[in-house]
Amino acid sequence: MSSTAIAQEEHAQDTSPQARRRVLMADMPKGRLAMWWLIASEVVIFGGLIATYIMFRLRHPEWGHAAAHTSTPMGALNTFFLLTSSLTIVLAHDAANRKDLKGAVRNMLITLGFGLGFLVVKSIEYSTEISHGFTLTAELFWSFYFLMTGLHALHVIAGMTTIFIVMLGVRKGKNLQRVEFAGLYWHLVDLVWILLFPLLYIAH
Amino acid sequence: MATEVIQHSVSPHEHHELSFWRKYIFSTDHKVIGMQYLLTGLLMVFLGGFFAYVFRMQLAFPGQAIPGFGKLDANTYNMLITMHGTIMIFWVAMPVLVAAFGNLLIPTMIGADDMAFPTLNMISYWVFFISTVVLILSMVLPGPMATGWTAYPPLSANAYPAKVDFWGGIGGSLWILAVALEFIAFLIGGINFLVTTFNMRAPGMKLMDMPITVWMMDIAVLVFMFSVGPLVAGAVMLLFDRAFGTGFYNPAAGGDPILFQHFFWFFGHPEVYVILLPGLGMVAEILATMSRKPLFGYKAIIYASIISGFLSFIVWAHHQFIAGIDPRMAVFFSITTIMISVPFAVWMFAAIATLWKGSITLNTPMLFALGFIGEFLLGGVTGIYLGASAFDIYAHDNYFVVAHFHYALIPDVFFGGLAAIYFWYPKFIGRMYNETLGKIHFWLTTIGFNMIFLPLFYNGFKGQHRRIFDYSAWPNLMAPDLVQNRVIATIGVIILIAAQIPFLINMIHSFRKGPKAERNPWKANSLEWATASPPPHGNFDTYPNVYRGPYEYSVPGREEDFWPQHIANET
Amino acid sequence: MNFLPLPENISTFGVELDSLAHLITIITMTAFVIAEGILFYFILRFRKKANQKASYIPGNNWKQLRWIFIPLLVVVGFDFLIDEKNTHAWTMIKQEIPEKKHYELVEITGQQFSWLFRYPGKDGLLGTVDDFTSTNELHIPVNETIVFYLKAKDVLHSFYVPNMRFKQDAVPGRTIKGWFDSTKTGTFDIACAEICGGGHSIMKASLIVQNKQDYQNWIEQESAKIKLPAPGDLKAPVASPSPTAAEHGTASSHSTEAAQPAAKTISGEQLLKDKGCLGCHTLDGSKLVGPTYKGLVGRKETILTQDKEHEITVDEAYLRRSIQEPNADIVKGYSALMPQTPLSEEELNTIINYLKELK
Repeated sequence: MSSTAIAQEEHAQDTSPQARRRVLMADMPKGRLAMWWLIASEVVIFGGLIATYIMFRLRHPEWGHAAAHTSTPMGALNTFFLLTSSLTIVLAHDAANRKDLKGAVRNMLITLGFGLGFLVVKSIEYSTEISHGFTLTAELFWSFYFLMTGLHALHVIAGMTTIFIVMLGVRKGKNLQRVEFAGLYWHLVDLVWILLFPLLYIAH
Repeated sequence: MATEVIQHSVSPHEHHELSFWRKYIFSTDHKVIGMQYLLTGLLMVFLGGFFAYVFRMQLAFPGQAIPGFGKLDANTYNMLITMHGTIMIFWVAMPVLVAAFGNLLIPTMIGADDMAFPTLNMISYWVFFISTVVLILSMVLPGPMATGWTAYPPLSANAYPAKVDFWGGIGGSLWILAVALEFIAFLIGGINFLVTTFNMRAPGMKLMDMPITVWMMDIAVLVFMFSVGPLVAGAVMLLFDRAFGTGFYNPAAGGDPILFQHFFWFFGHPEVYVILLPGLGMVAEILATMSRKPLFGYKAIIYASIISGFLSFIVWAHHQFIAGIDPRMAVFFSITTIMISVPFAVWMFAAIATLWKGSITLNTPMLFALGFIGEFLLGGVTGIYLGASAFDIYAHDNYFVVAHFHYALIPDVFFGGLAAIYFWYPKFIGRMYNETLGKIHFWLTTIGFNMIFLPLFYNGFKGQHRRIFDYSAWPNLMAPDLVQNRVIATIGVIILIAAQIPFLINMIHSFRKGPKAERNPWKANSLEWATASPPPHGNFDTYPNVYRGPYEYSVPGREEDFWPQHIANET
Repeated sequence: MNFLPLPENISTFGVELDSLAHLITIITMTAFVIAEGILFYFILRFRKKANQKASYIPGNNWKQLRWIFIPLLVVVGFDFLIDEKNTHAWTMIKQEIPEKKHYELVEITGQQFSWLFRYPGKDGLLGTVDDFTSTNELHIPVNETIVFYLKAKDVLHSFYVPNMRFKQDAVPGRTIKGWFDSTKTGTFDIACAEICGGGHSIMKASLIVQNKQDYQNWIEQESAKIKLPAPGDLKAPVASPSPTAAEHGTASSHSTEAAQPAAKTISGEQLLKDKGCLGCHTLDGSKLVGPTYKGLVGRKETILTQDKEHEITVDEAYLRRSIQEPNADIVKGYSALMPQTPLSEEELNTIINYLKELK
């Protein structure tokens, strides 16, 4: 059952003209529309930052030396975590559509688990790098590295918080359509990482 | 979600009584939130205006103690001009024109009970409120931003003259944080505007039946959302440079100061259209209503506005013609900048054509609306001088620029904003303002405003550079005509500030003792005039359907000279 | 045609810039007057009158919309005209340097809060040991093309010469090339047009356009003050961008500090000039932005330290502190505007020794 259908069903008991109008007009339910606008703004923020980094990197080929010190295996592990978690949140969405509450909650928990894994790996990376003297102010490459991955990590935390809150509702069978919206945000977080990984870890 | 809908479907008198805090402070009602933005903006305009008074007194009477302030030194002067610009753009123009009137008007004009996300709406105001507090803190803590509102590094990244540490420069760092928080508040608010417009229009209201104000608010919010992103990134980078010593804008570390300028103006230029479009929209409503004529070329205006939205993204480097960018880039930006005058010319011609063969009532909202057109015209044509990169070599960072942008911003924010306040006052306050006081307010404001900025064009032509605390070191700029103009401009500031007294008296007195306003005192067509004055929680006792566009005034063959959108066709 | 209140133009390209300004004025002011006229006329003519209804003219067909689109075409036409004239003027001023057999070269550095003008000296090359620096005075010969290399030491500044109709921002980390030539002798203002801190308002220099003989005399006079290092004392000069290498607006990724003669051969007075100190402090006893250097050492001064007033006698320790922490102590009657000036120990000693002798 689509999100629209879920919304319509939930609102079926409410016969006020306002409610009727909301359902009639909402061929895209407001939550989904709002999430797309939010994603659009985030794309411009990260887009600006990433484009700037690319420009700088092209101008400073010597940054390859610094970039060699990012841990490609850890970055690859994190990529695996995020990609898989994007799969599990889609499975959660699918379960929610089928009203399989237990399945939805289970998949959301797995997603959160992978998110947590990502953050743990990131912390290990950061502490290793800092202990080797690669700090925020060491070199401009590292300034970009910490800024971009740090901002991204904040968004991972925000995404996890959103999924957690939605999950609390889903456990009680409420607001199942929100699984899709949380998933959309999570995909954005994943997509940004897919861009950061090659730029910061692979490119030498 | 199901809970939300049921709440709103309950008619107002069945709603349980909310506490004072939930009703007026932490309210989710778009009208209360709109008023909160409006009041915050009006408070901040007096702060920003006071700063202008202080620094203009210094400019007219250098070195003398300023009544109500004391003596001004160069560093404090630089802080005041920075805060003046920052406050007027981010804490007056945006909250008043976009947030306040967007909140008040969008749901009521489209026949909705509230915004799509009322709780999110409330959160966005409180984030904005926190940003206001942070801004004020940034002025009083050590190392405030004193670089002009443009905050260019390296000066803004290093708290010169002596490099200060994190706490020594905390003021400026908080300034950056305040602006960033404000951006977040408006991003959230903007999402609300767009989803509400798309999803919650009254049955029968096609997009081309919406009042132009709703269009303008949405285009403005879209332009904002797509332009602010890179600056958010750039501002974080500036904050890091300043607070943590990174080198994003430090050439010694491999960074580039001009990069920040690009971030700033890629947003900054579209931002002025974000501020302009809602003003244009609301003035258009007033012109049509007070002339009893359809808004001329409604569709043409919409297409022109959308085009100007796109164009606004490819003109930004006209702020940087001589900044050190590749001169060949300047040729491109000069062409696009001069071209962007075209969509705004469409608006101007349409506005004037709306008056043709109308039946014009010259009340206070109409006077301010017409004042907008008359004054903004000068702002617009003086922009041509600056868009021509060769003349900009001479005029950049000079009083010519200062006069130009005040002739664009003040007609928009002041005249447009005041026109809107007077026009919708009876609707949202439920009482009529005093017309005589309104007219006095208009004429004094017009006189004061022109007294300030007209002489400054002359000083700009003469080569007077800007952001200068004291011209005493410059014998050529102490010529009697230039000195005299600076004094006249300062007297103009005092008149402009004094002119707001009748406005304040009017607003406060009418609020308590003004005659009760009817539903539709202006005999206008759009849906907000179909509700009670003021509208109750939920706005409409019966939610309207829409049968026509909003500008069916003086339709031939009809007895009444207006035809509200929600009145069914006679069969 | 010359009715705009512009200051005297002494520059060759200034003529075209002024003519552009006048063209724009005629076009825009005519449009402005017509538009305002129509506006006022409509307001007055169509005021509400009893028994007179408004007309229903929505502007939704081409017949009605031509009233917008025909004026619009006129606007676009004039826009093109202005664009064309502008492109020509801009390209001439900012993209091309006129072909000349000889250019006068100057390196201009903006710093908080003075302008330094470095001349190539007798060998005609910038970046060699015989270069000399003038603080706040740009001398140029009349009717010659001056090519300059604009730099900034600390923050953004902007080199603005109204009578030359010239402005260019100075950006730290970049060397930006520009040119002008003057058709008239005289003294004219140079301003900083980019806010650069508390001293932005006092960052003033003078453009002194001289006839060939006076200019030559001045060059000789200033060159003579440079004590060239004895052979064997020479430090290898660090490469500075040569006139052919320096391009518009390209970021220099390498330090562009030119050779400084070894400290022992540079006088205290020259150092004070080079570092910009003389932009705010005088040698002759007159009061400028900061206290005069004449008779400084040994003088009794009232100073404010963290807003507490006390009297001191100026000694070496005080001088060091004033240079290294400029705003820790402020002499009463002066403002906290002095920027941080990094000096090597040798440079500091040279200056202090010089000041000790300056009675």
